Amino acid sequence: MTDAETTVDPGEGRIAALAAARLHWEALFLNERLIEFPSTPRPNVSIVIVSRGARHLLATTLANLSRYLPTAEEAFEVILVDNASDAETRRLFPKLTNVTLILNEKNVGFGPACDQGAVIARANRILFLNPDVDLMPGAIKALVDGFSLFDRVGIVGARLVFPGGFLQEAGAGFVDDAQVTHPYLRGMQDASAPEALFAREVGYVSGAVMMVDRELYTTLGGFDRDFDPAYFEDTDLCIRAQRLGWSVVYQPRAVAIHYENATSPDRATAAALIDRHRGVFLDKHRKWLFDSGAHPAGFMAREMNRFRLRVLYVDDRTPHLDLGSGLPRANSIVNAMASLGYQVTLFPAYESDDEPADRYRDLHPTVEILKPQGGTKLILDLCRERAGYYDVLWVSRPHNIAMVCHAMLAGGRSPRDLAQRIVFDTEAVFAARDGVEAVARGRGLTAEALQGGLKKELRFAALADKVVCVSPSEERLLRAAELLNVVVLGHSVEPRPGTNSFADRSGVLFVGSLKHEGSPNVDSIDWLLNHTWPKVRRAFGEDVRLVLAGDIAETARDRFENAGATVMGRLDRLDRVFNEVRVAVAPTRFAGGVPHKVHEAVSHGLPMVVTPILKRQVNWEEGEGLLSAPWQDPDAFASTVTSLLRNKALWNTTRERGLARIAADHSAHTFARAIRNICEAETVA
Amino acid sequence: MNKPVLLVVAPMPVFPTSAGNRKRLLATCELLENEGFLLDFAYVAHEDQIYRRFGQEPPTDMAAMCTRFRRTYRIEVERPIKIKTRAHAFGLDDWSVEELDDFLTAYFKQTPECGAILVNYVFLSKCLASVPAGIVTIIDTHDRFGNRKAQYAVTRGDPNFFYCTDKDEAAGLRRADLILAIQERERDHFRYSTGRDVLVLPPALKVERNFGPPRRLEAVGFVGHGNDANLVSISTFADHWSRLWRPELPILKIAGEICTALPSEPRPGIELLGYVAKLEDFYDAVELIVAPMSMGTGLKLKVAEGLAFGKPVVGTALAFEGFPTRSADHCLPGPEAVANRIAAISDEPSAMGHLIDECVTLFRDYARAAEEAGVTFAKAVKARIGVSAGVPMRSAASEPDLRQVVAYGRVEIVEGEAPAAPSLFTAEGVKHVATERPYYDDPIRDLGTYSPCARRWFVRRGATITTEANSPLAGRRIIAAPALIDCGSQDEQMLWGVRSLSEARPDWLSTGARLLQVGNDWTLETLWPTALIAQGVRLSMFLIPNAFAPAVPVKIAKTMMLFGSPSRTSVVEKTCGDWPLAPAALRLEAASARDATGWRAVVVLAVGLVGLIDMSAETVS
Repeated sequence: MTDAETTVDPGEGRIAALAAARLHWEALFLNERLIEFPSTPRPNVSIVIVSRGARHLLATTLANLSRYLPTAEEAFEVILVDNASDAETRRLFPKLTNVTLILNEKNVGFGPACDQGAVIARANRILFLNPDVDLMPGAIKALVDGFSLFDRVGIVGARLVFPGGFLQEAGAGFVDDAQVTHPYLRGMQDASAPEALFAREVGYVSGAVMMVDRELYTTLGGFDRDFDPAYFEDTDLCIRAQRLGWSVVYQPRAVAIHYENATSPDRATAAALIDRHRGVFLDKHRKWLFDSGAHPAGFMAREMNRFRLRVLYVDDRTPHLDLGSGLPRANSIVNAMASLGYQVTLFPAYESDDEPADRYRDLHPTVEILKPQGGTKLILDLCRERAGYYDVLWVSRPHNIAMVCHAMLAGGRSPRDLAQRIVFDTEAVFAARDGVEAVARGRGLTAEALQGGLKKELRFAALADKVVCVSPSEERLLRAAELLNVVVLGHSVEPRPGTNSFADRSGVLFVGSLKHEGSPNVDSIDWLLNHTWPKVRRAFGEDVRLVLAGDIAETARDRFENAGATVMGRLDRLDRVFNEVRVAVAPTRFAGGVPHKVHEAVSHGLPMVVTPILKRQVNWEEGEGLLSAPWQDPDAFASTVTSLLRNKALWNTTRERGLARIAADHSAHTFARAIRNICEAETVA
Repeated sequence: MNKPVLLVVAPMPVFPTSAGNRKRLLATCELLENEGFLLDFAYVAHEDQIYRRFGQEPPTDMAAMCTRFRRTYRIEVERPIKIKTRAHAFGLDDWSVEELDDFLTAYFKQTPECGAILVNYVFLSKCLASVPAGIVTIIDTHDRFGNRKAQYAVTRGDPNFFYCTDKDEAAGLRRADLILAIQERERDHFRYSTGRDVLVLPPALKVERNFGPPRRLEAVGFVGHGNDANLVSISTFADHWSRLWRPELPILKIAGEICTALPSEPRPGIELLGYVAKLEDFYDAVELIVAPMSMGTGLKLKVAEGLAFGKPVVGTALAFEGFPTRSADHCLPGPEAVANRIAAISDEPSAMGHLIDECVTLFRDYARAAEEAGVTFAKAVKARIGVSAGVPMRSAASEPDLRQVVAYGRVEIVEGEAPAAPSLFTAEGVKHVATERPYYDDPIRDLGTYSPCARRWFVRRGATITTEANSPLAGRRIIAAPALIDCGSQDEQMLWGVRSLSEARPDWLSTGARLLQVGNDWTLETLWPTALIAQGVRLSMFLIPNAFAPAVPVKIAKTMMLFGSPSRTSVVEKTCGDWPLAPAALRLEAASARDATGWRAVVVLAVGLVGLIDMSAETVS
């Protein structure tokens, strides 16, 4: 059963919620309970709630809030401003502890009441919260975090959900039509749809859950009195903030059930106020919003920033650091793009994670992650639905390049119908890897066969603005295959050496996925254990350990354990094992791409012994983080491992030179700059 | 007496002094000279490139600079400058210039007497890594770039020109020994962000005119360069002024390059003067200066200059940031308020009298502060620099030297070498075709590479008809004249000019193209720069015949990108910038009922770059 099928209609959901709120009120008084908040001497968030009758939902809102367990960063105070509620509602107030109360004897309106609360707020972040909202765990922290997602953020809003589970609002924008304001995805049955799960700059967020920077609020002088008693004051505040250069951000991780219209006057009065205030709002902002020439239209209207670079990134699956097969590099690319301020849509063609938390475990919260849909159809759907939206189409791996191009050809389109700039990332050139494997396994290989394989694999690559490969050696190969516009983009890793010294460490480590029998990694460990490891043990001592870290097939596990290796399986964090062992090995006999395992180990200050093919792929000098020995000479490989295990001076020099190389070539700064050069075209006047 | 030598590096020329930043630069140079420094000047030709990118001939006056400074150098910028980024900010060194690093290495090797370098703008600060130890390094900030992007929110404009993060800006400034801010608020900000002492140096302007008695306002003025801050501010002001204008109110006279960016249709109460040759004529024609700035950083030179010309100034608080203001007329909230205020005082002698008194005091206080700051700055530099041996002044630049005239078809190609060759620019019947792009053969040893002189070529109508001749541009790296990009006409003189530059070495070259003809439809299959596919890109395209005849302009009707690899014979060569090429079919509008055979090349002119599609190997199917 999908999430969407478990939702109920908002009207029914609201009835159920109101019934529960009535019972909650009854129990509160029957059982003489209090709604207690802790005393907060130095709050980081001031929550301002404006009440006006609707006692049942107000009590539920406050009770839910009192059960919220804030971390230190989200320590909050509660300020309740009551707009002349009825006596029944005011019976609630004596039951509140550590709540600052402001009791207005007449209804001063929503905006002025908010201002009253904001004036006495002590924190730098003010959260305006409607009296009919239930905040989900971590919502306040998520709102606070929203301020650091973009430049100069002034206001952050939440993902609002109707009772019953339908989506109420995932940020909102403006369209030059009769309605003007358009909450994004309102009424969508699946409140966790991919389009609702990424943070972005929006036109406005609802005042139901709105966190405002105190400096901004003061600069703006609070809500505008033109919108008293209510409606459009929150929208106006968001626009005035943006006109001063502040951003308004939608934060999907702040989830809130909003019962909506709990304190509104009757429907006709509300509708009249909305219509009148829409006019006031348009008088103030129409020119800025719609006549400046900068307002995003069509699909782009869901975002406010027209000038952000938009990238559609296609790969096999949602890329995570713990998956291998080039996915850590894809993860670095996507995250670097997001950090640069690009709006990235990730299209995992075949596989993703079910749970949003898994999907986003190591991906930037501003990345939109679509559902995997087998490729062709979705590409053509995107072409139709998001025409003109993307600036860059980045397709990773040759088979996905072929998939995209075939889809386009079948639909009578060109990839440039989807984006102005096309980037094809070869990731790993399989023809090259297959060629090396053929040689390693004793089969012949001709230059013509290699060229033919390359051309077949990359037959569409010529139409790209950039053909990205992972190493200088593959760059040479691609250029030899007459490909144009080839550029190298390796890995992004920062030096983070473990603190243990040579003497504190022992053993040898291999890191990599051993999940598939016949893969280059499994082949390399079979070769190591059969031909080299016994020689190392003879030379260094029987107690030297070989540790294997990474997913592993059961058959391989048995075989490798029987041969004396310590199999640890997949580890979420490798820092500890990198800090405990003395040497890492990568006895790879055939491979494409560039070995992430080498960069990872060397960046952790762990010197390596590798085969010449890997050394060529990383393009480092001998002694820069690694020593090499050919797999064809098991004695040489074993003696190189033994030297590095024994020789402290050699170990230290190799380690330091490797860290220096990582810092020079693979820093986040260098990586981001390379990505910018790939994605952003030369400016044409 | 020995004088210390200081090298000034700037991405803009000093002459013509037509923009606020150039005036600031000139004022700083004058200050340093008055304080006893000998100045060398290195112009990093950023602004020339920007002018050409927008189709204008750069007005840079190298001859005047050669006369003004002890030595003058010109550093051509090979790589196209990214005017915009789609990331949240530019990287600090995105506008750095590799050629400048080489120049500094060469300069300091051969100029041991130089003891200090003043780099204008933090985006050039990377070059300080090429300055030897012991040389005093100074950055003049001019502007604050950390918050520039937010200013575009006022109009929802597309952020352009340089902006970066506060953190990056601070890191750039920390590369120097001394940091100069142009006004106190920015000094305070830079002190906070860099954790270093920062000197404030407002430009000292000499008094050009004394303030006169109050008069009824007949005309108010605004003079400005064509930047975004001026455009946004004066546009808003002019719209408002035009709406409220009635005959008894003064005319708004707008002067300077900004006029080219404003609507040219007549509007009530507004007169566009365009570029004015003599500033004093402009100031003499108005009674008051408006400074309705709603965006911009740094210090608004137009305010200081207006006061120096003895004109009262009314403006926004932003316009007067950095000035010691006291009057409400100097801290108005926006352009509309400035317009309303001028309408209110235009016929009020007492209000005008009061305003003039305030402006006199303001300018006196400003001038005193600027003078004191200048002395403090000069002392700070001298305290760090040793006094060098005396060095001779360089003689003034010579007049343009016409070296060669070659008959080329129906025209003459005139070759001149001069800093500006101004006489040829204005000569009757002579049109500029190209300027030589310097080739840095030995960039870190040969300082002569950075000569301010550049070879230029012009076409002049000639009586000679030759059947065959080599262009003097053959094989040379060139920068095409901006006017050629819009030369889609049948102007035979210019078409001979295009023909002549087809023999130069292009910035990008694609070979193996094919020209196909089906009926009247022509299709060119070629490798084509993908950046030129977008609609609205300004480019011009010319067919070069095999026969010795002028180029023929053609237009592209449609561009289709092709799947599949380019032909085996295709070769791409790029010498300037990163312009990816991909297989494309261009449907051409044939200029006339010509045959598609007999063409040897296509010349493509866009964004200041010369592209050549060579069809000599394989032409027609």
